[in-house]
Amino acid sequence: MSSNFNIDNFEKLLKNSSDEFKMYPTKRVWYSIYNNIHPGKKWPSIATCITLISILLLIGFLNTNNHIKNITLTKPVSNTAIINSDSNLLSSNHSNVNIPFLNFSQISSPFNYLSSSKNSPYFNKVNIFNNKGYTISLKPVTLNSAQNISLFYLSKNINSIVSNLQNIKSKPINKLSLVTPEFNNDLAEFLTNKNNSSSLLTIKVEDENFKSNTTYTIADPNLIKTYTDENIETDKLNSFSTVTKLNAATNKNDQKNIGQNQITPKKIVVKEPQLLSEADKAWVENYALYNRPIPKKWLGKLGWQVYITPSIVYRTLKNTLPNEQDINNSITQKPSIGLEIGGGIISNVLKGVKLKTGLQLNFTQYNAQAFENSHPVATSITMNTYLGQYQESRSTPYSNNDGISPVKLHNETFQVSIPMGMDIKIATFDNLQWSVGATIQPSYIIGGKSYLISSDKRNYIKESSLLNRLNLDAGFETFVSYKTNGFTLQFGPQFRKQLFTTNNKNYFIQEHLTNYGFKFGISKLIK
Amino acid sequence: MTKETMLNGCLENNAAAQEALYAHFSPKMLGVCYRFAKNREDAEDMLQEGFIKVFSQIHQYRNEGAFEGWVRRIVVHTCINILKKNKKFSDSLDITYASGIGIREENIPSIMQAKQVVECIRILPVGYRTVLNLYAIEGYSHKEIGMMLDIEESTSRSQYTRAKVMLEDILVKKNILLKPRNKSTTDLNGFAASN
Repeated sequence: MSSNFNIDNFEKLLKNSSDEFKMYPTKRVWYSIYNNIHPGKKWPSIATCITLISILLLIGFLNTNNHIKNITLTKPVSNTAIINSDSNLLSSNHSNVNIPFLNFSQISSPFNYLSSSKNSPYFNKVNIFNNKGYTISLKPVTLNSAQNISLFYLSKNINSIVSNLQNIKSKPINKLSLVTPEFNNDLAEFLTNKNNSSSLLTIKVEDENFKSNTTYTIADPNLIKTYTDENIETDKLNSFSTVTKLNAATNKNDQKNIGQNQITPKKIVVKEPQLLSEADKAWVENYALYNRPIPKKWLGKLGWQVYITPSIVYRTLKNTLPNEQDINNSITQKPSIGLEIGGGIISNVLKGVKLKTGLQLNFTQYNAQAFENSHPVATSITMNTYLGQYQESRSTPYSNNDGISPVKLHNETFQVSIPMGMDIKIATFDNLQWSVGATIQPSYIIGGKSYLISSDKRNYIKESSLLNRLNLDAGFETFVSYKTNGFTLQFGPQFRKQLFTTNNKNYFIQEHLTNYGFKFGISKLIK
Repeated sequence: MTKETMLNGCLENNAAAQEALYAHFSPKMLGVCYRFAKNREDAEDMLQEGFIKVFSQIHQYRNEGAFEGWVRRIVVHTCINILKKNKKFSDSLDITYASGIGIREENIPSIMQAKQVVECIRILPVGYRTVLNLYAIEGYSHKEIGMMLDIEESTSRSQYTRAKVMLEDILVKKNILLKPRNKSTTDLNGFAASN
């Protein structure tokens, strides 16, 4: 073209040159166009992202589930349970009470079910933070009927609650005690006694100087009975058996301050060994309450895993042109050795089911038998597009059938993939466990070599530029795992299939690799 | 796939037909976009916008004239619209005289044949380049160019004249064009007939 034009042909030169000029856009352009004109048909990457996010959300949900045993009232509570107060119920003579008390600290959604009573002058709102962070209002409340309430009865030192109350009450509170008429020997016995129809639960709060005592009473025996019917855990109830002999006494003032539907509670006094002063105890337990370590709920459910899988790589070739003979009969090829090395995290989501994901490096290799000539020859490869077929010219020194010296052509790829899948336990024999697993593996080909067969099947052309950078593989495995010293060793056969063709989809030969390997892995739960 | 099959498939919003049409025309259309764009990325963005318009307006094609020409017009208009959104492009059209713009030898890429000419065109300032592309290559008249770029027809003429002089200079330096017989034709202040 050089110097073929002069100024007079200027526009012609520009026009001709521009018309000859072509550029090939990247795939990104077509994907963007496709997504724009087909908004309902997003590319698989979006579906993959959604799947991945869903899996992560599922793992997060399962790992943050508290597994609180909800206690449900088996029958609607017809009467209204009212927590009343009686500031004169207990005298200062009983200030040394330290008994296990009924801990309301695990009421699920307490504020949804408890409504404040505006008519009770004695109570302030009290938030008690137990070791799981739940709150309860000890404000005078009305418990509405037919609602689900969860209560656990725990043996917990009362002073930790008292220390919290001190922050809220205008007067420092020193004691919080349980007073109930039937609580003679054992709280467990009381709570499990279904015939205890005249029971009351009373919580007493004392101030620092034991001058003013306030008692809160739950006045509905049916409510108490219902709790005991459904929810008392035996082992926790047994913890109350250490309660010492209770001295029941009836305070004459009780009946004055409790409503007509309520039954006078009996006072319960338990002797307490005085090892620390009350102030010291309060400080120590308050410190312990607010400085305890936060439990890591994922511990014991998450683990890591590393593995290596030597494999034998086979491939299947398919001719996309019509009326063509089987390409596998036209070439001489041999399987070769591949390798997978990977690591990742595993998560116990359900009993016997583990989700897993991670990063995996893959090396695949396949050999073709050919001959090398001393000089390159002209040949072509066929591209089969939607518009039709066309030939692309190439030159190559490699011949398929005859040549000067035999040579083995290594088709190989280096891939990085993100396997995502699950393992399901089939059977367990002592320390041995048999499982099956499956993964889907989006893969990116970092590099490799590809020898393509020419249109006439007479030559091989080294053409790595046609390698598909993105691909998708599916993996299936079955393995036996053996637990020893906190580690889990696993080994078993693995099958990995490449779902999309190795090279450009327009190339007239489609290649799919299949790996048959044996996996060796080691995993450990994080505790 | 024949043109009729491809067009009918696109009219039915068939993805395979659309991909076939895109595969057929995109190389040449990207070349068109590249002449207007600052770089390859911008050219691909123009191509993307252009083909979205092609597919969304393909029902307006009435089999009058070459389909490629219809696609090309849409792509060119898309390029112009994108360029007009760029303030620098508008400013560059205000340059009446560009004699101060020098061409450095080292800016001329060493590439071959058509790509060499196209790369030389892309060296031009954006205003010159656009007018030259539209007039000399795409075949629009100065009146049409004025309407497309919201400029006077005379401005388009003067822009083209200066662009032509500058490009000739580049091509001569690159030994693609023979030196002009009359040196006065390369005078930057001269207005050659360029209708």
